[in-house]
Amino acid sequence: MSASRALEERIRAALAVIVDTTPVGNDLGDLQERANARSRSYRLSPLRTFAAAFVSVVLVGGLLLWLAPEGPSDSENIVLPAPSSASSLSEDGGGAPEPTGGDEEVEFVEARYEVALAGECAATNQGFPSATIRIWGPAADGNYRVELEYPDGSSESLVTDSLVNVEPRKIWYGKTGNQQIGDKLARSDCLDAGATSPNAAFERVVLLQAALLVSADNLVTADGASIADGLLEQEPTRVETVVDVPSNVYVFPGLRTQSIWLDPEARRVQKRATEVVDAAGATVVSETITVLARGRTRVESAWFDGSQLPLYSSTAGAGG
Amino acid sequence: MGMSEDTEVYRKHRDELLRYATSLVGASNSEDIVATIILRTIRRRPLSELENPRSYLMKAVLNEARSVLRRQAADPLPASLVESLSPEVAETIDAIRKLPMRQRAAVFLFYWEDRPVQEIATLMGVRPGTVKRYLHNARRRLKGDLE
Repeated sequence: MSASRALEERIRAALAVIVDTTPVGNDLGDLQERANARSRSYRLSPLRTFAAAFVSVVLVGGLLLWLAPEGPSDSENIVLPAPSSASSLSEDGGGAPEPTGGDEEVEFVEARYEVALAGECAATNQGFPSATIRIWGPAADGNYRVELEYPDGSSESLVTDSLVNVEPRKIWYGKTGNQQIGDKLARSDCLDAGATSPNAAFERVVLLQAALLVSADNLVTADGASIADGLLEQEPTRVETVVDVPSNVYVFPGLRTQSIWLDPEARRVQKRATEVVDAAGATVVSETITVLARGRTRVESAWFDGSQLPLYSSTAGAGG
Repeated sequence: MGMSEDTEVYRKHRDELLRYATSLVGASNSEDIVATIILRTIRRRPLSELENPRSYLMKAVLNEARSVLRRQAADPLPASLVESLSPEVAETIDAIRKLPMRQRAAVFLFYWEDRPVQEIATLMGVRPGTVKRYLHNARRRLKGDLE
């Protein structure tokens, strides 16, 4: 390769990284507010700037402490994540992930939770009162995988191309991991009273996502860095209350979801999420932006729009 | 011409403007820059009445970026991101960010947006020969910094 060609490639690679940090644009109507905020910020004196930074750190630190797992409870017992090597996922969704070796450019997020499953849907739980949820990805095929691992080592798996843009690519179910969840749902033998949706698979995904968000500070990148560290760059402007999911929600009764709103107009949107799930349809997921590790350990934000969930189309107005 | 037409024009060019601004001053300032130039333009006349809105707005972004950098340093990349990069890429990013603003703009438009020199000249409001000079100087400087 010639020197000029090599330089050109280096430039393009560097520009790709820079461009990847481009924020999501606002609507025209939101620009005035942003401009006003900006002009205010320019008027900050150094002392005020320091004070604002100090308050921000305190607030965000408090938020992270508030988000931190508090140990075992009736609904969930969050276990610290165990960073592991990158793994590949067979396209048919079956079997255990296969290590791809340390040289693979596979990055992932991983979170583990111990979740009580003492619900009304014992069949879904494979008869076990609890399971470990393992959320990880992207795998070698670019998909994310959500697994419920039962005490006997069996598992359910869900394959999706994004944990945030919840459009499940494939959903696999069963101890062998080779049965599509659609087949399972067709038998309607595992729908709770409140989960009347014809496509509870989406609900399952949402709840898994909620589990992810509940303990987002347990998310780690491939090199073990906490994604929550990124939150320190963010000043929260609104923190919603914790919402208890009704006990009849599919799969994870009693799971508490937390709504975490960080300034959507902020300079770096590291995370903005609201997760409110009610199988009766009274409340729905509105929208979520969260942080994923993609492109090695690069952290990006991604959109999840309520309109992408056909299941909740009847309450699309709740979307942000 | 009304708000809806302005919204349409804005949406059409928003992403490109944001990318451009991000390449010039970093992500944290890019939205401010785009907001500023859009609002400033609208106060004067509707976006939809601009003869060549893309060219006008791109030039405005460059001018505003230069203005911003006179007041403050370019926004650094997040530490977590930098740590994840190979030393070579991190070094190149650093070198690009040290380029004079107009050279940086030319490099971005040429190497990332793959725009021909003639179009870059239009977007920057300079002659094609000037763009070539920006690119030549940028390459020379980068080569020196990265050796």
